[in-house]
Amino acid sequence: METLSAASYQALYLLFSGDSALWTIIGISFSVSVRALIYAAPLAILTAFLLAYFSFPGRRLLVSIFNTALSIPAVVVGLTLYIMLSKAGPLGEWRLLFTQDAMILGQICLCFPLLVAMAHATLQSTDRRAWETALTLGASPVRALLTILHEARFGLIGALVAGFGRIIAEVGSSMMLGGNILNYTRNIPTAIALETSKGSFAEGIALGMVLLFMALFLNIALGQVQGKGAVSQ
Amino acid sequence: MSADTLRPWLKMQDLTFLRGDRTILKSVSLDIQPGELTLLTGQNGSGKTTLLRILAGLQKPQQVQFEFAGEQQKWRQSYRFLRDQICYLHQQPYLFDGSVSENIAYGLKRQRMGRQAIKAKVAEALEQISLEHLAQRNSRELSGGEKQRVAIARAWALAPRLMLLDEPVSNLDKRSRHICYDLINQLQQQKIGVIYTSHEPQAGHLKINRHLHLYEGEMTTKPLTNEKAAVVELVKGNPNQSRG
Amino acid sequence: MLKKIRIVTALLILWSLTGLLHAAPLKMATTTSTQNSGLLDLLLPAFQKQTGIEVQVIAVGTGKALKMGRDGDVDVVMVHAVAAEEKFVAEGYGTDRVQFMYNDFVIVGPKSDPAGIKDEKSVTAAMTKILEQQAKFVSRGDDSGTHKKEKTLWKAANLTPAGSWYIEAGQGMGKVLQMASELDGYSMTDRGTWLAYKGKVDLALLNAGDEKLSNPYGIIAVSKAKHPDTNYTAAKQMIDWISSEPAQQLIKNYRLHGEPLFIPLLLK
Repeated sequence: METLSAASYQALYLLFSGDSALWTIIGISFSVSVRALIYAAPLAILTAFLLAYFSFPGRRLLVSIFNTALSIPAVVVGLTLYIMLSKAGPLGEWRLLFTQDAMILGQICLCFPLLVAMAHATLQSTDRRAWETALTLGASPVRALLTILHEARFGLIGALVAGFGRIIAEVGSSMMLGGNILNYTRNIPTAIALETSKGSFAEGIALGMVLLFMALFLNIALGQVQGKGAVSQ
Repeated sequence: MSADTLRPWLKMQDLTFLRGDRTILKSVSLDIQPGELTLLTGQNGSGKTTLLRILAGLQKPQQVQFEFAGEQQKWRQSYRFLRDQICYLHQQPYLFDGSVSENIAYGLKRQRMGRQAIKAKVAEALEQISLEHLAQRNSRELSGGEKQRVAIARAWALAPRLMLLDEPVSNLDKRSRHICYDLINQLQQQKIGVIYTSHEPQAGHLKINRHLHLYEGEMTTKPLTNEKAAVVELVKGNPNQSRG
Repeated sequence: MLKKIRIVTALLILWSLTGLLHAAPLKMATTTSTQNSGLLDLLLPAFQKQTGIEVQVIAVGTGKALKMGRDGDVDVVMVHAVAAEEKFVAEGYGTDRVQFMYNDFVIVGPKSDPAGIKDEKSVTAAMTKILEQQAKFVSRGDDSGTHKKEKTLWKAANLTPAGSWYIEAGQGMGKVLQMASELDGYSMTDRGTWLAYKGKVDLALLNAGDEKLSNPYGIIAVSKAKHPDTNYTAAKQMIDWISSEPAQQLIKNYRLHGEPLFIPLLLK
């Protein structure tokens, strides 16, 4: 039997020899997930801000809904969007199924509730005086919002990292909506699923290592950034 | 103070504020003269802070009528004006994450001032509060008294018509209190109006022009005990006429 | 209270021991298309009835199925990839290989047939047309038996599929058919999956019957020499039984959606 260590050595070789097929997959993964995060973040943070700073009817219900949406499995999101985007579905005319755009859409749906919930928790714990101080010093509401986001930046970066972590490693909706097409919609998680089904564990482990390194790197970076924030408070 | 100070630049009438079923402020009216130093006293929970926040355009009351430059305005048209003209300082002022200079420059940047002009104004403000040596210090590293002074300088730099100080000295030690009182007196000399609140009638060394008192949501004018007060009664009309 | 706990514990131990009384189950790795065909649901109960051996089926891709055999994780392998099977046996991982039945592959595509392959008799001609027209073609792309077969066909026709029209999906057959349907593309599929999916997808059967599309199935026992703990006896029993007259008759009479699917190879 091929040992884990042998597969791991081969994985490291593949990674550092610049295996182009492997790096294409890694590139697709990052480009799709980063775009999904960029599209989702502004609206998510604005939503979180409205939920944290203003009271309006249905606010509590919305907070509960976003917290519940956190635990929706990726496959359910994938299936729902699949039905919507399929030729026979209501959005079939967009012809988005099995494209990167469909994957991005799925990942937006997955990270949006997480971003809202975490940004909401962060913004809720910010000092209300910051908002009022900005306004009384003549800032417009938009400018005051930006000031609040700056004050809460460490928590918000944490939310973004968590959101990115959720979508970069997500296989269910990417597989369903992207279709795992080589050089187009095959990202790290779907490639791992495929390599495993083919029995080529080395490629799977190599890709798994990328995810692991990335998680490690992001967490260390986040720790650094938030550590900085803690000192000056 | 000349005759024009007798015409209020801001009239607030018939202010009512409810929190839930509780009436916090009951049909309060107030005239504000330019450059006037007002002491506002009242027990904890008497509505002092609420009144200041409404005046600063930060809290919407259930009912109010403002009049400035001779025009009657509803809340919707007023709050923007109030925010522009009036500066509110929290009991423990909030300083933004960043250096002392950045904090003082915050409001100036919103006024689209040039970079050189901002720099000069920040230097001037730091001089006012004698904290030039802390210009680059992060605001989070300041003491309570220093924070209070920076907050006053930050507001002063904007040259507001009126500054609202919410219990500015209550958390300060004796030395810081005196520095703070000196700063308030300086504001008055520069014709910046000040309303400051205190839950005790001790005014320290302030040359107050008027003493207002809030009790159970209604406002009364108290006689001045301070001998140094320049003008005994500036208030036109009767601020404690309650209609509710 | 303590007594109750003792009784429950004793019952639990007894219940866990009953598992040992059964004959050791036979672990069989096979392809998803084999399992999806439904044939195993007919064969395995008949086998268990006759021998008392329970068969646990692990349905994966051909590559993984053979790898599981190579690693000794299963006792018997049932796949349809002639070259890979021969290699598996030649390398000593498997013994007693028998080709016991076959079915065929078919080419499906959009009902409008943009590449115009409907009237082509030979699969080579059909695939040439698809390539020339650069009509979308969804390939399994997962190194499965079906994928290997497809690659053989391109190679036999001296064609090298490449370009944005050639979509390597890296997914199972059913999913690939759905993708072909959504993308208005062609695909090659085993007949079993086609019969199971043809009502659910917007595709038509466009090319079939060429000898090159034949798909023989093999069953191989995992080598006892390589993996002494393998359940070789049961594996051999399975292979002997599936080659027998009654099993071959079952295969012959099997119908999926009313259509015959497999042709037995060992029926005298």
